[in-house]
Amino acid sequence: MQEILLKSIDKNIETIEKLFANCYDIIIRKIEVGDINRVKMAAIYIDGLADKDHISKFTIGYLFAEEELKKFTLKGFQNSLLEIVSKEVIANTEVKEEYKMEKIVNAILSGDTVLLIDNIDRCLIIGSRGWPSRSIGEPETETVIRGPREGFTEVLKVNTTLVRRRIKDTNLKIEVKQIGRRSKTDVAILYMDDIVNKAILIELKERLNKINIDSIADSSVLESFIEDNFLSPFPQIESTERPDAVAASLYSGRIAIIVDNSPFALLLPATFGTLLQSSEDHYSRWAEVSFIRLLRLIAVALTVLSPSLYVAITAYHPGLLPTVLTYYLAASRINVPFPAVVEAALMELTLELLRESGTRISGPIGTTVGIVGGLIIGQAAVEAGIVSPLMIIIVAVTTISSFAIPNYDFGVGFRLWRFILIACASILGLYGIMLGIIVLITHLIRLNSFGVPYTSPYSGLDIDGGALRDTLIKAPAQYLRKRPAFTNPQNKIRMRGYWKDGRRK
Amino acid sequence: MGEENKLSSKQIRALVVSTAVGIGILTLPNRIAIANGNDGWITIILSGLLVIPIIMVMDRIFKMYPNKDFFTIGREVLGKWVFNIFLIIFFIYFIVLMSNIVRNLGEFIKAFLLETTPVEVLIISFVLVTSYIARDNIQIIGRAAYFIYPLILSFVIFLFLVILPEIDFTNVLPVFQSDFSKIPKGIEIAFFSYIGYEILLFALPYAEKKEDNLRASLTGLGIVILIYTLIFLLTLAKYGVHSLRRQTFPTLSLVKEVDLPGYFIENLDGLVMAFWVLIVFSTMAAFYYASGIVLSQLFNTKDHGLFILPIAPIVYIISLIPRNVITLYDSLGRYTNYLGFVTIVVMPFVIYFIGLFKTRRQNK
Amino acid sequence: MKRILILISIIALIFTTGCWDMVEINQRLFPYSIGIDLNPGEGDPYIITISYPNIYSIGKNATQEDRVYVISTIATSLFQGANQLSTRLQYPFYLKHLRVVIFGEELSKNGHMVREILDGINRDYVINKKVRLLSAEGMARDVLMGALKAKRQQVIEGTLFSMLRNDKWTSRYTAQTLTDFIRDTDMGGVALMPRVAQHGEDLKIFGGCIFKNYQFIGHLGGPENRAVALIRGEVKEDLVDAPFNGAALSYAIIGAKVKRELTNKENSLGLKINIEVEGTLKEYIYEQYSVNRDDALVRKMEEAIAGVIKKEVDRTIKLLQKEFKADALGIGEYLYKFHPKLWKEVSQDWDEVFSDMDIEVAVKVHIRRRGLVE
Repeated sequence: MQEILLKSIDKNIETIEKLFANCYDIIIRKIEVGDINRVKMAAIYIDGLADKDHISKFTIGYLFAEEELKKFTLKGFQNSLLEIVSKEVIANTEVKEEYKMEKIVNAILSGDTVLLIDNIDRCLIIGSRGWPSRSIGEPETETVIRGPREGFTEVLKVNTTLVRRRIKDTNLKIEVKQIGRRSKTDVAILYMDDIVNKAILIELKERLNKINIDSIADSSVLESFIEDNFLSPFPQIESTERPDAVAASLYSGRIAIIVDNSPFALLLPATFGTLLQSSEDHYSRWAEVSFIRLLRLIAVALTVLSPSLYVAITAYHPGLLPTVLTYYLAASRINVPFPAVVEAALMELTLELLRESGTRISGPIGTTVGIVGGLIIGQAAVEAGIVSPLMIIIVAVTTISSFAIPNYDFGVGFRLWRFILIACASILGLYGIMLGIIVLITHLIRLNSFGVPYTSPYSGLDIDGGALRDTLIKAPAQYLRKRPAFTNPQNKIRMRGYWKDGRRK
Repeated sequence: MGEENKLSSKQIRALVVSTAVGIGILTLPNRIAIANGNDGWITIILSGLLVIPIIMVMDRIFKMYPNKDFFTIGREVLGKWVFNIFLIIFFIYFIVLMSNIVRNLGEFIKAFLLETTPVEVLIISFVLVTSYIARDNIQIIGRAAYFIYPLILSFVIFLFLVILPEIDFTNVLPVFQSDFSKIPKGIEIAFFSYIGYEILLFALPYAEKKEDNLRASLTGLGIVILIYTLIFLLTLAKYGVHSLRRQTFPTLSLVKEVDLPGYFIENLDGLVMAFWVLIVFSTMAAFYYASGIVLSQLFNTKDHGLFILPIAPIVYIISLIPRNVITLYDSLGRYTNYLGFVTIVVMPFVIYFIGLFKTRRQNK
Repeated sequence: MKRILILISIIALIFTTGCWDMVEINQRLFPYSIGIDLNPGEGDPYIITISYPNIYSIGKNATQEDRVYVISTIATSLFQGANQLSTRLQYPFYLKHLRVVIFGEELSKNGHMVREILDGINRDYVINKKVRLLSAEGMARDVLMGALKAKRQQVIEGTLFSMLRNDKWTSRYTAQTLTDFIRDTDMGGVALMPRVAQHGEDLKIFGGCIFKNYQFIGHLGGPENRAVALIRGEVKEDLVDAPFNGAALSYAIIGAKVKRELTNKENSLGLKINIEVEGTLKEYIYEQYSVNRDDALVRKMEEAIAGVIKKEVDRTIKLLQKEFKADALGIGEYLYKFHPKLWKEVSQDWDEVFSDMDIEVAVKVHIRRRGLVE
């Protein structure tokens, strides 16, 4: 295997052809330039990845057209031909010299065009990446009522641009790494140099360097490799498809990772507090947001607890209910043949099935599945006396509240835990539920996200006292003078002077 | 990141509160009322004040030898062998204390939630669940304590608010009428209901801001005094001293009296029991962790996680020794108090004074 | 792999042998009232009567008509009774939602038995300590059977309980919970329990039975119960009628403030009770329009009402002092709390001291509002 370029263009082309054997999308355009001395050149690129118009117009076109080059005599000036070509001929914006074979191949595979020139053991790499891609659309999983409507696409450069547009500061650093032995996926690390906690950054880079895998298909794959505890059902890294969310996180000292081919950026460190925030929170009025945030905590509790509480109360502790409700509940279960556990497990499983099939099928069929599942099965199950009407309410409440958790993966963790709690409740009633919750709390408390306690700021390790102002509730922006403290940023103050105690000074 | 094993002063405060408030709170008003009648709140406050010098001494020990943990200091001051004997007493104390806790918990749960479930199942499941957190370092324990701490406070505040329409505060009268010669007896009971602050011996060296240690611990103690006094006054105001003397679990019975307008919420006792499991968990977690650490120091190993699971069966077996609930207070409860006296009163003072003597002599 | 197998087998074991306490909600019966009578015949001492709602009659798809079932047995104790009855019914009883306990008249007269039963209820983990106590006129069983017939009063939570719950609209009786009953007895040895009787088709709760050391010694009527409530400062809304200028004056009590004052004269104990009653005018025929705005007239009305109330209160106090020798007025409690030294001296023979006590009552009535018409 040839490691570096040789002087002979034919040999170089031969090597590249060998590497790309049976790759139908490789294009090697051989040309000869010059009137007096004809110099062999070759432009190599991958069809579809490189912008053809761009190459033919500004590279090959200019090579043919350039007067000086035509008259150029090879003798005596051999070594500077490359420079002349790059400095005076080609009109492209990104041009680099290269001589290592590996890098050249990488460049070709990434959509750049390589220009080989005969008798020169270096080549030019011309930036010509351009491939069909989705246009910037509205993010589908995180819609907002008020706020920007842009979402990330699958193209790394577009995505970093979307972030850069929001942070016009040289302190925004974008470092790119390639991860994946075969996929060679570009991974960009974004951070604010003067805000970010360097310890977290170093830790992240170490973890990224340790990854040795053939391909990174999506940011979620990367996520599972750099998480602190990959066995946990809870994500320790937040994902978002909103550039404004990324920008806001960067400002608060967090680090973003954008992976090529993935519209989801990763944000870290993530905590219980951040995972329960949606980007809408920054745009709506404080009173509403404070209310919604409390509501989300309730939603978490309902998602985890409601079916198991139903089991515990109906099968173990009917004394906990108000008397009249006890009678009605007992009356509604007269004809139900199953114990409450079976009833709950049955309905919750049905619901998970419906949700799964609903997400896989889009469009009109998906709606049908929803209607059939929600209305008909529920109604029929009650009519047939398989489940009690209250169970249907419980199931509905669970589902609705699980969707109120902004981060999908986070919600999934709780949804799974719900089944464990149902099992606990069926053995030891309310006490079993409490044991299950203790295990859940212990698990959450033990989790770290890049050295930051996952349960922050509810676990008391925030350095600053005011952390609850922007997690449990959202105080008016005037009161949020400091950046969130959980990442322990270098630069702590976000807002200077001017506002104090809600009054203009 | 080396900062991982650090405790904030908030966590230290929470640790004091959540380890102290545990099983004692359910029976304390009754036992104090038997000893001191209407003036029980005086003994509760007095014995709380008695704890202050102990906490101060603990803090002083770590000020005297900065940047050293309790075990290094102990070995340095007392010598390896004497200190190891202390550690063994410490370990036995923790084991008995934990057995007492889990047995009480088991009996309560059996009484109020699960009548026919064998108490063995209740105990072993709780011990196993707690062992999950006990394997971690003090920081995790601190986080857990801080997590439970607002729950304890909100529980007390909630209880206060819902019971307010039901009580008659003139029941607290008459004050200063009881027999003052019985106050020492009451103090003996109340003093041991504050047990739990010995966790400071393990926590203080890891504090983030060492200068805040004393204030944080004493604030925690203050909150505990406040909670105990409030609960005592509430139960007294509800039942009057005669009935209170007959209520075995006045705090829980108090919850049974709650009847919110609209009759939506009633029969809260089961729910409160469940809630209370969390509170006991935070107490238990700290002691479980501490017993593991003490063992690992005795055997000179670095990781205390090894010892956590083997402790579980010991606690389980000891907790099942008392024949019934009545002997439970006489046997495990009493041993806990004796051992507790040695470990949390005698030991810190001994270490402190010998240490003081030694450093003085070095300085000369 | 081995670990997983062990884990699975443990979990399977728990699931198959576990679930000790699981009883589905529709497989329990939830009694709301229990009546206890003395067994006049042979055998065990008590007749236990339990009434519970028929859950098959509740809800949209109700299949049965009868809303309440009443069942009774002879047993040695309340719990024994509940246990025995379970063998006759499809499901066991669950007493957490028990609301009312009724004592039969004969049983009430046996202080020891009342105490035994109350102790049992109080000791039980399950029963709510807010359970209301009632004393029946005649047999408790008859009252519960009567509740069956009282169609007009039927509600799902049980007729008796709903009536007791609404005691804030009248002072003719005062609902007594288990805790309060025991506390009152502990304090002064005397406690009141409202009285229940069959009244035509309906049930009627009125007045109060006096229990001295758990023994029934006599009962107060509705007005007397109101007088006791007034003295104790626990009065709720109620109506008082007073003759005034030849017409009847109807006055609605809204609340009252009570001040007690110890007045020691030589050797005998004296107590002055000041009662200030707040309320509104309900009904009076005015003859002359001009007088309506006259404050002096209102004062006269107030005096008239005060006179009526004072008479009632005086009579009640005399009744309690002389006839029953039972301090249901909370005076002992007052002394204990505010004059502990004095209480220590007199507590030994409190009943005697109480009956000889010189109690003076001063009633002041305020008419704050007079209704919509002038």
